Amino acid sequence: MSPERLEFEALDATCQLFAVDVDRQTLVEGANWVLELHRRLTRFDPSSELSEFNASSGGWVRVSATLEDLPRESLYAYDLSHGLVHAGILHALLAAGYNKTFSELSRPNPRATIALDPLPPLPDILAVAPGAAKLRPGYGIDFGGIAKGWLADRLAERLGENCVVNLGGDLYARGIGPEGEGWPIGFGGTTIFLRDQGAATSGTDKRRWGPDLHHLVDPRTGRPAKSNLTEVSVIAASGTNAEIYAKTALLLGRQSAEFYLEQHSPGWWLSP
Amino acid sequence: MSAWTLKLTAFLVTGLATIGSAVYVTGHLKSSAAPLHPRVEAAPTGHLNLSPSVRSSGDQQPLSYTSVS
Repeated sequence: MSPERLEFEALDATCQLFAVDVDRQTLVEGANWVLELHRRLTRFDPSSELSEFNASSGGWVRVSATLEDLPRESLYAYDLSHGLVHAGILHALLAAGYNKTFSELSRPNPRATIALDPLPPLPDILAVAPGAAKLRPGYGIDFGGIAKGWLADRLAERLGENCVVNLGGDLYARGIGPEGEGWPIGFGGTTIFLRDQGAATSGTDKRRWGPDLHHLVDPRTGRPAKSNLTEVSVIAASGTNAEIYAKTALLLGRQSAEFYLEQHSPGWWLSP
Repeated sequence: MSAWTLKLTAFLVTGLATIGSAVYVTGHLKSSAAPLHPRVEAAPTGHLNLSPSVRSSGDQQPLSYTSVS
């Protein structure tokens, strides 16, 4: 059975939707949902919901359900990664020169040499309550890949029982796939069949704008990470978890990554 | 036509075909430095670890793939 397919640009990346027994209009509505959330969650638009939250740092502020859920996911990611996946990296990214969308960031920022300190624990700077959130002054949030994985998981719930949502490489495959054997997904040079599972890749070769300048900040140093891995792909129970495990493994480096992934994932790809 | 004539004709045809093929092949050796057509993509370098619970196939074309973005 051939699935319905839709490809579109969002989240500064190419996104794909596939679904069986779903009409194209449903996929279009799904893409529009992603685009709408992209507008609300981008840090590059000062009027976005996320930018307003980052600008309001200090006391409790009322937030939408989405901006309540994503900080919760970020705190969950922080725990699951033993502190390595840290959403409070906005100022570290800005200091490193990542102050425009990557497609606009055509050359290195000459001011991208600011040394930063290790980040404080995320629970010390971000708190969430029903309908509200609080950010410590002097810090900002960038959801990064967590948002992609989370959005993929949520959109798959909306697209029906048999679909794939791939948002810039972070994906969730729901259901038995077009032929009943799972969804065939390219992973580490081979094809794997995913069924109610997510997969994500984290790497330092893309979104790079200078020597040692890339988008993966190590919260232990506050600077772009130095790792003996350049790319990690991981399978997990959800797109969110796959993203968390992939980023954690990359930040840990080869030796510790394998030990960490053995505890969490049924499959991974590590590239030096 | 006698049997010997037929045998001789068959022998000559076979011999000429063999010699002709050998001459052609010798004159058209493939250069080992010539590029492959189409170009073969280098296999990604890295370490893949899949538990037995993950089904995989090197032959099946993927519908989509995970990647860095």
